[in-house]
Amino acid sequence: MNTQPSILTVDNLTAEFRLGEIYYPALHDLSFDIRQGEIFGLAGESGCGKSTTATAVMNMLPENGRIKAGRAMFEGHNLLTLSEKELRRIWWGKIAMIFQGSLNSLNPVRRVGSQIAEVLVLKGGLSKPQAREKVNELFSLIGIRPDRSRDYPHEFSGGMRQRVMIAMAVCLDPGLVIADECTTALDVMIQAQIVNLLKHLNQTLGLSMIFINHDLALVAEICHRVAIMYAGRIVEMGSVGDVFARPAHPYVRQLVQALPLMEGPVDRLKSIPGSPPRLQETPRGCPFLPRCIDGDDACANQVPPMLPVHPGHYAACFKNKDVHEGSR
Amino acid sequence: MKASLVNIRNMSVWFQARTGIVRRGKNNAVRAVDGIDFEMFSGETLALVGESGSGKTTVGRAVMGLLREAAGEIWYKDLNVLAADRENRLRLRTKMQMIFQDPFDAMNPRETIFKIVSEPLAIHCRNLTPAAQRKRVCRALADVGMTPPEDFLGRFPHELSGGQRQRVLIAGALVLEPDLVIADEPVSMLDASLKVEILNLLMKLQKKRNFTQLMITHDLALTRYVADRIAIMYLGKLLEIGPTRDVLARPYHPYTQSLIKVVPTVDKAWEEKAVLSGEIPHPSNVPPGCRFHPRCPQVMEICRKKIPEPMIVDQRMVQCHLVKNADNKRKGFTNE
Repeated sequence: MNTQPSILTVDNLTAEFRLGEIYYPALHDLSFDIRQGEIFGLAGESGCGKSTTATAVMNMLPENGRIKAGRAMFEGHNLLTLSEKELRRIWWGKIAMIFQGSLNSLNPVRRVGSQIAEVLVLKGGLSKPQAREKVNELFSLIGIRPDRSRDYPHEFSGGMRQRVMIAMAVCLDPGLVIADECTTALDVMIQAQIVNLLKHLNQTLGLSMIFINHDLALVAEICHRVAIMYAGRIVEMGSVGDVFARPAHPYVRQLVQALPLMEGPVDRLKSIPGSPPRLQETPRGCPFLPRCIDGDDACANQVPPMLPVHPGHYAACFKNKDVHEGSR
Repeated sequence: MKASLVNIRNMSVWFQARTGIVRRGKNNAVRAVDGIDFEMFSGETLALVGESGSGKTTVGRAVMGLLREAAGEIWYKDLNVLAADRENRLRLRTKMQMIFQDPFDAMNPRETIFKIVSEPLAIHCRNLTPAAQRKRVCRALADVGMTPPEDFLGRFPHELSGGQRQRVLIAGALVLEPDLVIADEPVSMLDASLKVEILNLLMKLQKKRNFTQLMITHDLALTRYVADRIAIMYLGKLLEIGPTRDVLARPYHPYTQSLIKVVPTVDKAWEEKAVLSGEIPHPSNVPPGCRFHPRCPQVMEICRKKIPEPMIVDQRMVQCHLVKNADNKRKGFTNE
């Protein structure tokens, strides 16, 4: 288990969005921490609040969103109360983001290498020759021949462009990288290449990472620890081994059962009946109750807090069974 | 042996690349699909698997008779799709339907659900009375689990969830009661649970209405649950075809082996995977010999020069120099 100190600590983060005139809660009381050198997964179905969590932590919420409560402590600063000027020093330099749409965020009329060099010169304070040197280094790191840095973005494939975005994210040696659905538009083989690259950066540079993805299998492959979200809440959190092999929350249990496997008997896959609540209708009790097979009155009246299942393994469910019994 | 519904013989699709004024007139044709043969049996699901750029969607569109560029033979029962006259082509359209990937893009946002689902009937069954049309639309909607169907007829796509939209698209494809359904990545945009819901629905409908299905996908793990047979495509050629269970348990072709290795699943631990380097080449630049050889982990001298012949080894077609004959294969490939 990773016993390194935390690089980012999020406490009771609550955020809301305005629809029309009314604010609706989108994130409820999230608490988690990212440890030094760890890949932390945020997973869940679309609309559950994974990306909102990332933008809220970075204090980058769109116009109609606002933070209602909570802290996000990074290097002694609460990111949620910093001014935009102070945040600019942290964005990219200390915390970098890789987006899904980053495939399109390279300037098409400028050489790829000079776009990275620009960041190094303007934000990193390097001289131009130093920046060129560093670009070559970065290209070797991401597995592209350094001479290709003189190409234009259209000469690169989608996978190569995503590699460039990764190079750009790590070029100023940030302590933390947030990768939001960074492999979603890519093919399986290219996705595997990118996952290997991210793991490699994690191991060689000791890079800490928040890996946001809707593909649970992919999260299971790359992450050390994972938080599963549902309707704006974290419902289960723990090491990847615990959460996927011994899920304690009924939602996570059913979600894992819906995943196809490459080995073992071929049973009919089971889906979870119903759909998640919409933003406008936050239930008083457990948000999963309408779809839950174990729920009762207690669940309808109170939102279950994160309860320990096992050291380092938590689930927000009153019906936690001892899933670890006999396993250790 | 089951009856063959679709039989594809030496089908190629050449696209004329547009390259601007200067190079116009040069022969810039690219072969997106390069002389493939396969068969589909009545009532089965065949999964067509490959990376993007392998030509799998082009195959689907060609089988539908949507591509004028297609050459070769596409037999639907005893009718050659590519040589059919207008009347027969129209008749074929009612027998084959397509389901597309994106439930958000494939619907006109200003049309009601009734209009969307009834459109194929309005085109192909013009003499249907409005009452009969309504009845068939309702039946299709009920079949895909949109109940009660009357409640949905007047709604618009934006009022539906992603899963419901995909159901409406399936209803639209099934309203003509086709014999062949070509589903192009029908669930790749959906969440895990919804994915399973839609695939289970398709399997249920297939059992009920007994149609044949060509499922185009890049998700190997899912094919294990839905497909009877699987065809692996790479750069316009089929490298391996066989029963899904056999192919996934004992892949013969090195490309199939690599594809299986990179499937992410929750039951595997942190390990560096043997990922193929590089990417699928552009079809205008097909490598000589076996087109997979530049990325093949088991490449031999002969692979660089000679295109491998298709071999039939226990119910399976495979195109690879490593597979010489049945005996050789047993030594080299099986884990037993």
